[in-house]
Amino acid sequence: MGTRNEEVERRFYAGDQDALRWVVETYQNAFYRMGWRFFGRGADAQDFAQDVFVHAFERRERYDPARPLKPWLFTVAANLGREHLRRNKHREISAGDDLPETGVAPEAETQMEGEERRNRVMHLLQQLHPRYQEVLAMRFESGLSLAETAQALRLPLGTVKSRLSRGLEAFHSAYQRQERSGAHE
Amino acid sequence: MNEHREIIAQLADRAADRLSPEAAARLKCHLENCPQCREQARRFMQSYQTLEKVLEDMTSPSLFAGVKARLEHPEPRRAFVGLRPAWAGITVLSVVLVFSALMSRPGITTEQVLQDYSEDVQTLWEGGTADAENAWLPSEWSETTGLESSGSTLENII
Repeated sequence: MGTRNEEVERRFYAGDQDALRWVVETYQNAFYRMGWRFFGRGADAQDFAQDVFVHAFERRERYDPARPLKPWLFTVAANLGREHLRRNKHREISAGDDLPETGVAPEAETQMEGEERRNRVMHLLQQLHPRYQEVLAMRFESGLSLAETAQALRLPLGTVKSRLSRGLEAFHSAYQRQERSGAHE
Repeated sequence: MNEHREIIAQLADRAADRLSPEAAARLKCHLENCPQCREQARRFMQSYQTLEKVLEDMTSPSLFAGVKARLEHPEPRRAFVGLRPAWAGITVLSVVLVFSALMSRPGITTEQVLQDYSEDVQTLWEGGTADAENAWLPSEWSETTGLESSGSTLENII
């Protein structure tokens, strides 16, 4: 995710549009992935990611420019995400969301397999307990270190480590179960 | 037990090349001598690599133009996507309630009902206070959201 760019962070705080562009281009993939996990569709994921940037920019006076911008941005995203999870506890998302229609040409099969795999993995992530989901998301969707994850989620580092470990264990079990059931079909 | 947990937690940093050489050496030594952690580490790395591989292929389209447009022309009372269906429901319900109440008054015409409703809405959204707006919301919507500021309310989310 790169090192800190203090000059850009100061300009972002001051409301500079070029700094905003830098921030959006640097973090859009992370928030898009996060949104995809919440909503299961590219268009909504895009909307969510835009919400994070708009929300952060409009409330940038709450950011302390003496500190790194990245964890603050991810705190904003995590809070919007938690809000979404709280409101959509029972939402079911089809593992087939966003898959291409049938009738795909053979040369596109590899891409389709990749998308299927992505959908299955994202679906499994959605099934995990939110406390594991958000730690795994910070680590894998956003590329934050464990210390940055702890800072963004406002949790002790030890808690983040333990949730990461348990979350990966839970993901592994679910993934293995799915692989086995797929092999038996 | 805590030592084992700490070792497994270090794998994430190890996989991302964020572990110091000394810590990496300690980790390697522990895994060589602990079959339990070795097996857990194998599962951990399998999951880690699966997630890393799948997610690195997911890239966003360029979002800056959309973000800029939304900052320059903010939509009134825009909420993130999860709230939209709820707002739509409240709007429909409010229309039905206002019409039911007004139509029950004797001698009133449809034009008068529409005029009254239009004025009510105008007052609420433009001249109304935040309290008046929140009076439309279910009570749990007015709770704090757990955002970074202790003063966070629904207003901060939207």
